[in-house]
Amino acid sequence: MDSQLHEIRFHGRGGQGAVSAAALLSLAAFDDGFEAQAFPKFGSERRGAPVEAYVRISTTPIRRHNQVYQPDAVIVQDSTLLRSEPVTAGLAEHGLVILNADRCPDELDDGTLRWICLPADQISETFLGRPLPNTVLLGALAAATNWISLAALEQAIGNHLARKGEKIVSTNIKALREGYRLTHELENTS
Amino acid sequence: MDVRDTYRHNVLTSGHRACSGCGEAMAARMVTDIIGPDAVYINATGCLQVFTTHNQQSAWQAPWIHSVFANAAAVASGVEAAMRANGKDTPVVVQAGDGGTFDIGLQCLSGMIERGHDVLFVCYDNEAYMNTGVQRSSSTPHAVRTTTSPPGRLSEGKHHLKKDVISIIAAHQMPYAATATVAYFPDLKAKVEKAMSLKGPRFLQVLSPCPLGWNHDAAQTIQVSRLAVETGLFPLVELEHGAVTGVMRLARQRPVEDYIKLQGRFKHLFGSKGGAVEIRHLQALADARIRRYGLLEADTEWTTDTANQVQRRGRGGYARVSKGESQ
Amino acid sequence: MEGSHAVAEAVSLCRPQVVAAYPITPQTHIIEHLAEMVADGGLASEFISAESEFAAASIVLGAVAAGSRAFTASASQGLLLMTEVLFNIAGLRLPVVMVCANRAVGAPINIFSDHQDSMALRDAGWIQLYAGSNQEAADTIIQAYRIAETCELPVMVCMDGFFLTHTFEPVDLPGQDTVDAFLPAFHFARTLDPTRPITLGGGSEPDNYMEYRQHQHQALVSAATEIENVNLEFAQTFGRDHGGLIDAYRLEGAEVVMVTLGSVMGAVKDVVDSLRGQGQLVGALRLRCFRPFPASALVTSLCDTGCNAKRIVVLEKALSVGADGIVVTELRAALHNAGMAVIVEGFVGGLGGRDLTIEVIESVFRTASDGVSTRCRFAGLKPESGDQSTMGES
Repeated sequence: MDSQLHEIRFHGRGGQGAVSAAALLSLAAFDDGFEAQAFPKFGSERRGAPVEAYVRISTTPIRRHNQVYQPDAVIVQDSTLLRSEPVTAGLAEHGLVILNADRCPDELDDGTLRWICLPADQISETFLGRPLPNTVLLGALAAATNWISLAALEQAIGNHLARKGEKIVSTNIKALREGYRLTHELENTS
Repeated sequence: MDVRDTYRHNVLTSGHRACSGCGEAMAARMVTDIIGPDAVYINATGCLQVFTTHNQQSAWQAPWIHSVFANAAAVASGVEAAMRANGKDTPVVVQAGDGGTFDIGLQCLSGMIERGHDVLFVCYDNEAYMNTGVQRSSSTPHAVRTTTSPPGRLSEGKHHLKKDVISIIAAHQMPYAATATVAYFPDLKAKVEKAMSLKGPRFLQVLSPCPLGWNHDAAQTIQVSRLAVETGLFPLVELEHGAVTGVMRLARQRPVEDYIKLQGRFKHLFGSKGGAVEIRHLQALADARIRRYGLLEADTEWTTDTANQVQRRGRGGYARVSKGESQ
Repeated sequence: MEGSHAVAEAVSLCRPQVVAAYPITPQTHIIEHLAEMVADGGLASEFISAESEFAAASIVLGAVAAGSRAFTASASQGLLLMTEVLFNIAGLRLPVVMVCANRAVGAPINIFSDHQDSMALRDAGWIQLYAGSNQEAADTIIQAYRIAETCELPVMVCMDGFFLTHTFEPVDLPGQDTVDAFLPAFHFARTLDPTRPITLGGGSEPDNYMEYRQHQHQALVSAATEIENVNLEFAQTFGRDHGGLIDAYRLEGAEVVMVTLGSVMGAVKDVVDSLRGQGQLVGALRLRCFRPFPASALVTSLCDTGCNAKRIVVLEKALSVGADGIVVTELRAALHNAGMAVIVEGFVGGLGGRDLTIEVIESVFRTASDGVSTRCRFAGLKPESGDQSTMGES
């Protein structure tokens, strides 16, 4: 069976919406014609504590319900997690790390991984008025990979956040686009 | 055709297997005949369930269900919800003993009341687990002999007081909670009718002497039940939304000895120093209950002397007890 | 959508008139979503927040006996607290449908998934159906009401906690009209109705109790046919076939077959494909129905119809402590009764939420038969546990 499978791990803190971001990504991938699956790191969630969530995107039906051990990409919503969590565990060489930070941490960037660091808190604060980095980081993922289209993410935001109101949808789409734009810019300059 | 239109009958019919003189059988027949066959009856495990549905037979001429010991109030919650869902207003009535009310069934009962289910819960209180052979319950009064609270060299019977379940139930601030007993049928009838006229959770505690467990003459069930009231040990009261709204006045207070000397379950208290102390203790408990509910001075036309003789004019034979007195 | 959400939507499509539950992880999202639907007016149902699982089970018991379709859900400690009532529901032959969001049982307290909770209820007289995916869990709810109400038997739909309940994956929910056509309005002959007074739950003595049990047993055994039929009709109506009693995968020519249940089957299928790709003759079989135990369907699948298994490995998420795995014991008995001298080896794994990884599943397939295998073996223990039966790090 010729199957293409991408596994993505989200690291965040309880309350930052790692699970929501994973669900949003899976919905977008499904809208894009892929099979998709999203799930939290199982257990009880406590506000502020480290949490993980996972997404599988595949060209064929996803049958397994195992946890993700060797992600192709990780998205880190809070740079303070680098101190306590093994955020890069299981990543293959040149695996992708998208980090919510002003700049990439020199001591971690030893060239074996592909780091994309962008100030998603500030960007989201500009557009949403609050530091909610999810959609910015998803824009970065769309720009850094060909796994998911920007249009599908925009549509998923429209569907998923519709009940929160028009304004939430439009500002999140702006934040998403800014994450996408900035990542292209960073990738082209590096 | 509704078969029940073709003849007159009791809801709880003859042929059941209750002991002679069974206070619970009397009480259940009175209560269910007042309510009638157009109701669904839920029974907790206990004597009433056992003696009315012995081995594929049934003495019930109304829809009746028994599930397990502890869950009668929850089953009733489900029956009532189903009635509501199906647009019916069939009354739902639980019958349980003191085990299924005071002890193992208390949590389900509290849940049913808290959720406001439109159910009448009737507790036939015979003050011990009679079905399994007279073991103590939390309803068993102080100093009573049961098979699990036997008097002995170190014991004068049950060490603990009878649980004040009516106060616990009434503390849920429910529409109606009352006590009654088989000796005062008009009073019992008025209370069942009052309960059935109201919506929401309602509770009746009916003292039901057990000749076997209380060890009294089977012909004296009514007399024993009347003495429980006249001594003040079992006050007849009504509470609405947590406040006392009616009591039956005692025409005179009888000493507790008049009550306990008829019953073998207290026999060990007579003729010993320790027993005399416990009798004084029981007297003190009766006195306290009389004071608490104002049973001697309540301003009511109906008393323990007149309640069975006088034609009641509607309801309201009881005095309205002012809020100050209800505490 | 999330598995819990999908199941709640499927429950709603079945139009239960009474929903009663007490929250417990990982069942909570199911009942929360049902509560939302009731609050929004999308589901016309009495939603009752019980004060315990014991009460929740009792409430649905009363609701069904009084003539309404009802639903509850629980897991783990909650399921065990319901135990007395669940036996009672089955004895009264009430068509209750519930979900068990499978979770380990304490002590030590553990909120993660295994099958110890529902397996402890295997003798309660309930039909038990184990879902392999969220799509199947949702579809099985709809089937369960048909089966329950036709057979007058309660049905427990078991879905792995977290692995299914908390996972977002595509689920195709049917339209209300299609479900209404498939599932007739609730009907139960022995309802509590004053115009036809009946006594439910009366006493029984040694002269007739055994016949009650024998009839109940027969009803449960016969339900196997109904489960197959409902699955077939469901497949015709909705276009999805989850297997009736069993879900067989690549059994043609298989010499080694893994038997399992629940959501781990997805990973097992991936492993079977990969081992087949390497030329190994392996297959897999998932028990979709555990009660009634589908002995003849198992014997037929494993020993006839192109599959001639030489070795069967059972991978299950529960055990009878002090004895062996539960499924392996029953499977051995079924094959023995059918005169099949096939080697059946049992592995217990995935307890308390430990992931049955691709590597562990592969190692169970590869473990050389010890020829006797009367001993319960554990798959996926940590290396430092030092147990000889440790699997998964070979």
